[in-house]
Amino acid sequence: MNDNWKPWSDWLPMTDGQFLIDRDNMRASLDSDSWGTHINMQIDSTAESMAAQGITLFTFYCSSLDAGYDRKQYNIEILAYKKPDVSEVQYQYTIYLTDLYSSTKFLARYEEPSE
Amino acid sequence: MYRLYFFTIVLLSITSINAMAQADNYVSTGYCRFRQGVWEKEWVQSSDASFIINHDSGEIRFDHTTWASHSLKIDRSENSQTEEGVPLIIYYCTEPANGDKWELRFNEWTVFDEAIYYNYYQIEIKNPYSLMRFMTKKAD
Repeated sequence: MNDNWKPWSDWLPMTDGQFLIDRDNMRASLDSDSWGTHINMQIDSTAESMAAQGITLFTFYCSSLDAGYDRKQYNIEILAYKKPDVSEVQYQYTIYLTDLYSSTKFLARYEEPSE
Repeated sequence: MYRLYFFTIVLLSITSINAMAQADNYVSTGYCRFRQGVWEKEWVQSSDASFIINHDSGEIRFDHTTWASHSLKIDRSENSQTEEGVPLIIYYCTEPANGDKWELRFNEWTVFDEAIYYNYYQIEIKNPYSLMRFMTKKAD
Protein backbone atom coordinates (compact mmCIF):
# COMPACT_ATOMS: atom_id res chain seq x y z
CA MET A 1 0.00 0.00 0.00
CA ASN A 2 1.45 3.34 -0.98
CA ASP A 3 0.62 5.89 1.70
CA ASN A 4 2.45 8.60 -0.19
CA TRP A 5 -0.18 8.81 -2.88
CA LYS A 6 -1.06 12.33 -3.78
CA PRO A 7 -3.67 13.39 -6.30
CA TRP A 8 -1.78 15.86 -8.46
CA SER A 9 1.83 16.67 -9.02
CA ASP A 10 3.22 20.05 -10.00
CA TRP A 11 2.65 21.57 -13.38
CA LEU A 12 5.24 20.98 -16.03
CA PRO A 13 5.38 22.44 -19.52
CA MET A 14 3.88 20.43 -22.33
CA THR A 15 3.24 22.17 -25.60
CA ASP A 16 2.88 19.46 -28.20
CA GLY A 17 -0.29 17.81 -26.92
CA GLN A 18 -3.64 18.16 -28.60
CA PHE A 19 -7.15 17.12 -27.72
CA LEU A 20 -9.60 17.01 -30.59
CA ILE A 21 -13.30 16.95 -29.80
CA ASP A 22 -15.37 16.35 -32.93
CA ARG A 23 -18.99 16.52 -31.89
CA ASP A 24 -20.25 16.22 -35.46
CA ASN A 25 -18.78 12.78 -35.84
CA MET A 26 -18.75 11.87 -32.13
CA ARG A 27 -15.01 11.35 -32.12
CA ALA A 28 -12.29 12.47 -29.76
CA SER A 29 -8.56 12.02 -29.70
CA LEU A 30 -5.48 12.85 -27.70
CA ASP A 31 -2.12 13.12 -29.43
CA SER A 32 1.25 13.90 -27.94
CA ASP A 33 4.40 12.91 -29.77
CA SER A 34 6.65 13.62 -26.82
CA TRP A 35 4.59 11.31 -24.62
CA GLY A 36 4.17 8.77 -27.40
CA THR A 37 0.45 8.94 -26.74
CA HIS A 38 -2.12 8.63 -29.50
CA ILE A 39 -5.63 7.71 -28.38
CA ASN A 40 -8.58 7.64 -30.72
CA MET A 41 -11.96 7.53 -29.05
CA GLN A 42 -15.59 7.30 -29.88
CA ILE A 43 -17.81 9.66 -27.90
CA ASP A 44 -20.57 7.47 -26.49
CA SER A 45 -22.45 10.20 -24.66
CA THR A 46 -22.05 13.74 -23.44
CA ALA A 47 -23.17 15.86 -20.51
CA GLU A 48 -23.02 19.52 -19.66
CA SER A 49 -23.38 21.05 -16.21
CA MET A 50 -22.02 23.75 -13.96
CA ALA A 51 -19.08 22.77 -11.79
CA ALA A 52 -19.24 26.08 -9.94
CA GLN A 53 -20.41 29.60 -10.56
CA GLY A 54 -19.04 30.65 -13.92
CA ILE A 55 -17.37 27.30 -14.56
CA THR A 56 -19.03 25.08 -17.12
CA LEU A 57 -18.26 21.38 -17.10
CA PHE A 58 -18.43 19.45 -20.35
CA THR A 59 -18.15 15.69 -20.01
CA PHE A 60 -17.52 13.27 -22.84
CA TYR A 61 -17.86 9.58 -22.07
CA CYS A 62 -15.66 7.78 -24.54
CA SER A 63 -14.41 4.37 -25.55
CA SER A 64 -11.20 3.60 -27.33
CA LEU A 65 -11.25 2.82 -31.02
CA ASP A 66 -7.67 1.61 -31.12
CA ALA A 67 -6.94 -2.04 -31.71
CA GLY A 68 -5.71 -3.86 -28.64
CA TYR A 69 -7.44 -1.58 -26.18
CA ASP A 70 -10.67 -3.59 -26.21
CA ARG A 71 -13.00 -0.61 -26.02
CA LYS A 72 -11.22 0.86 -23.03
CA GLN A 73 -13.35 3.49 -21.34
CA TYR A 74 -12.24 7.10 -20.96
CA ASN A 75 -13.88 10.16 -19.51
CA ILE A 76 -12.89 13.54 -20.84
CA GLU A 77 -14.02 16.34 -18.56
CA ILE A 78 -13.48 19.91 -19.65
CA LEU A 79 -13.85 22.85 -17.30
CA ALA A 80 -14.29 26.16 -19.10
CA TYR A 81 -13.79 29.36 -17.17
CA LYS A 82 -12.73 32.96 -17.62
CA LYS A 83 -9.42 34.26 -16.45
CA PRO A 84 -9.74 37.12 -13.99
CA ASP A 85 -7.66 40.27 -14.26
CA VAL A 86 -7.63 40.07 -18.03
CA SER A 87 -9.24 42.98 -19.83
CA GLU A 88 -10.27 40.96 -22.85
CA VAL A 89 -12.59 38.05 -22.06
CA GLN A 90 -10.40 35.01 -22.26
CA TYR A 91 -11.48 31.46 -21.63
CA GLN A 92 -9.22 28.84 -20.25
CA TYR A 93 -9.72 25.11 -20.05
CA THR A 94 -8.76 22.44 -17.60
CA ILE A 95 -9.06 18.99 -19.08
CA TYR A 96 -9.14 15.75 -17.12
CA LEU A 97 -8.54 12.51 -18.97
CA THR A 98 -9.59 9.63 -16.77
CA ASP A 99 -9.49 5.89 -17.27
CA LEU A 100 -10.08 3.11 -14.79
CA TYR A 101 -6.76 3.50 -13.01
CA SER A 102 -5.52 7.02 -13.54
CA SER A 103 -6.41 10.59 -14.28
CA THR A 104 -4.27 13.16 -16.04
CA LYS A 105 -4.91 16.86 -15.78
CA PHE A 106 -4.05 19.32 -18.53
CA LEU A 107 -4.37 23.05 -18.95
CA ALA A 108 -5.31 23.99 -22.45
CA ARG A 109 -6.16 26.81 -24.77
CA TYR A 110 -8.79 26.63 -27.44
CA GLU A 111 -7.88 26.70 -31.08
CA GLU A 112 -10.30 27.12 -33.94
CA PRO A 113 -10.18 24.33 -36.52
CA SER A 114 -8.11 25.31 -39.49
CA GLU A 115 -10.52 23.98 -42.08
CA MET B 1 -18.80 22.42 -37.48
CA TYR B 2 -18.33 21.49 -33.86
CA ARG B 3 -14.73 20.49 -34.03
CA LEU B 4 -12.95 21.80 -31.06
CA TYR B 5 -9.22 21.60 -30.71
CA PHE B 6 -7.64 21.92 -27.33
CA PHE B 7 -3.94 22.35 -27.47
CA THR B 8 -2.37 21.52 -24.18
CA ILE B 9 -0.11 24.22 -23.01
CA VAL B 10 0.53 24.07 -19.36
CA LEU B 11 2.16 27.39 -18.83
CA LEU B 12 -0.22 30.02 -19.93
CA SER B 13 0.70 33.48 -18.91
CA ILE B 14 3.85 35.07 -17.88
CA THR B 15 4.19 38.08 -15.70
CA SER B 16 7.03 40.42 -15.28
CA ILE B 17 9.70 39.50 -12.83
CA ASN B 18 9.12 41.10 -9.48
CA ALA B 19 11.80 42.42 -7.26
CA MET B 20 13.17 39.53 -5.31
CA ALA B 21 14.10 39.19 -1.72
CA GLN B 22 17.78 39.03 -0.84
CA ALA B 23 17.94 35.22 -0.83
CA ASP B 24 15.42 33.09 -2.60
CA ASN B 25 15.24 29.34 -2.44
CA TYR B 26 13.79 27.35 -5.31
CA VAL B 27 13.19 23.63 -5.57
CA SER B 28 12.77 21.84 -8.87
CA THR B 29 9.54 20.26 -10.05
CA GLY B 30 11.06 18.90 -13.25
CA TYR B 31 13.75 19.25 -15.84
CA CYS B 32 14.54 18.83 -19.51
CA ARG B 33 17.82 18.73 -21.36
CA PHE B 34 19.18 20.22 -24.55
CA ARG B 35 20.31 17.28 -26.64
CA GLN B 36 21.52 17.00 -30.21
CA GLY B 37 20.65 20.59 -30.90
CA VAL B 38 17.08 20.59 -29.59
CA TRP B 39 15.28 20.84 -26.30
CA GLU B 40 13.61 17.67 -25.19
CA LYS B 41 9.86 18.15 -25.29
CA GLU B 42 9.13 15.79 -22.49
CA TRP B 43 9.86 17.10 -19.02
CA VAL B 44 10.94 14.72 -16.31
CA GLN B 45 9.38 15.20 -12.91
CA SER B 46 12.06 15.70 -10.30
CA SER B 47 12.36 17.48 -6.99
CA ASP B 48 16.07 16.66 -6.71
CA ALA B 49 17.53 20.05 -7.57
CA SER B 50 17.46 23.28 -5.63
CA PHE B 51 18.78 26.78 -6.15
CA ILE B 52 19.50 29.53 -3.65
CA ILE B 53 19.97 32.93 -5.21
CA ASN B 54 21.49 35.29 -2.69
CA HIS B 55 21.60 38.86 -3.89
CA ASP B 56 23.23 40.12 -0.71
CA SER B 57 26.30 37.95 -1.05
CA GLY B 58 26.16 37.80 -4.84
CA GLU B 59 26.17 34.02 -4.81
CA ILE B 60 24.09 31.23 -6.24
CA ARG B 61 24.14 27.76 -4.79
CA PHE B 62 23.02 24.76 -6.79
CA ASP B 63 22.32 21.56 -4.89
CA HIS B 64 21.18 18.18 -6.12
CA THR B 65 20.38 15.02 -4.22
CA THR B 66 22.74 12.92 -6.35
CA TRP B 67 24.97 15.35 -8.23
CA ALA B 68 27.75 17.50 -6.83
CA SER B 69 26.82 20.84 -5.31
CA HIS B 70 28.09 24.03 -6.87
CA SER B 71 28.64 27.46 -5.35
CA LEU B 72 28.74 30.21 -7.92
CA LYS B 73 29.82 33.81 -7.70
CA ILE B 74 27.62 36.20 -9.66
CA ASP B 75 29.94 38.24 -11.87
CA ARG B 76 27.14 40.32 -13.33
CA SER B 77 23.48 40.10 -14.21
CA GLU B 78 21.40 41.64 -16.92
CA ASN B 79 17.74 41.97 -17.80
CA SER B 80 16.79 40.37 -21.08
CA GLN B 81 13.90 38.53 -22.65
CA THR B 82 13.20 35.22 -24.28
CA GLU B 83 12.46 34.79 -27.97
CA GLU B 84 8.79 35.02 -27.03
CA GLY B 85 9.34 38.35 -25.32
CA VAL B 86 9.21 36.97 -21.81
CA PRO B 87 11.31 38.98 -19.35
CA LEU B 88 14.24 37.11 -17.90
CA ILE B 89 17.31 37.76 -15.83
CA ILE B 90 20.63 36.35 -16.96
CA TYR B 91 23.21 35.69 -14.27
CA TYR B 92 26.79 35.33 -15.49
CA CYS B 93 28.70 33.39 -12.87
CA THR B 94 32.04 31.83 -12.05
CA GLU B 95 32.55 28.79 -9.89
CA PRO B 96 35.49 29.83 -7.66
CA ALA B 97 36.48 26.22 -6.96
CA ASN B 98 37.52 25.56 -10.56
CA GLY B 99 36.99 28.74 -12.56
CA ASP B 100 34.15 27.28 -14.62
CA LYS B 101 31.83 29.81 -16.21
CA TRP B 102 28.10 29.33 -15.69
CA GLU B 103 25.13 31.14 -17.09
CA LEU B 104 21.72 31.02 -15.41
CA ARG B 105 18.63 32.32 -17.12
CA PHE B 106 15.76 32.97 -14.74
CA ASN B 107 12.18 33.75 -15.65
CA GLU B 108 8.86 33.57 -13.90
CA TRP B 109 5.81 31.61 -15.04
CA THR B 110 2.30 32.09 -13.78
CA VAL B 111 -0.19 29.28 -14.23
CA PHE B 112 -3.90 29.85 -13.69
CA ASP B 113 -6.02 26.79 -12.99
CA GLU B 114 -9.73 27.27 -12.29
CA ALA B 115 -9.41 29.82 -9.51
CA ILE B 116 -5.83 29.75 -8.34
CA TYR B 117 -2.63 31.23 -9.65
CA TYR B 118 0.48 29.11 -9.30
CA ASN B 119 3.90 30.67 -9.57
CA TYR B 120 6.74 28.74 -11.11
CA TYR B 121 10.23 29.80 -12.05
CA GLN B 122 12.21 28.38 -14.91
CA ILE B 123 15.95 28.28 -14.42
CA GLU B 124 18.12 27.39 -17.39
CA ILE B 125 21.69 26.50 -16.59
CA LYS B 126 24.55 26.48 -19.03
CA ASN B 127 27.97 25.34 -17.90
CA PRO B 128 30.92 23.73 -19.67
CA TYR B 129 29.24 20.33 -19.41
CA SER B 130 25.54 20.74 -19.93
CA LEU B 131 22.61 22.88 -20.92
CA MET B 132 19.35 22.13 -19.19
CA ARG B 133 16.20 23.69 -17.85
CA PHE B 134 14.60 23.26 -14.48
CA MET B 135 11.06 24.21 -13.62
CA THR B 136 11.08 25.28 -10.00
CA LYS B 137 8.86 26.70 -7.33
CA LYS B 138 9.66 28.64 -4.21
CA ALA B 139 10.76 26.34 -1.41
CA ASP B 140 8.48 26.26 1.64
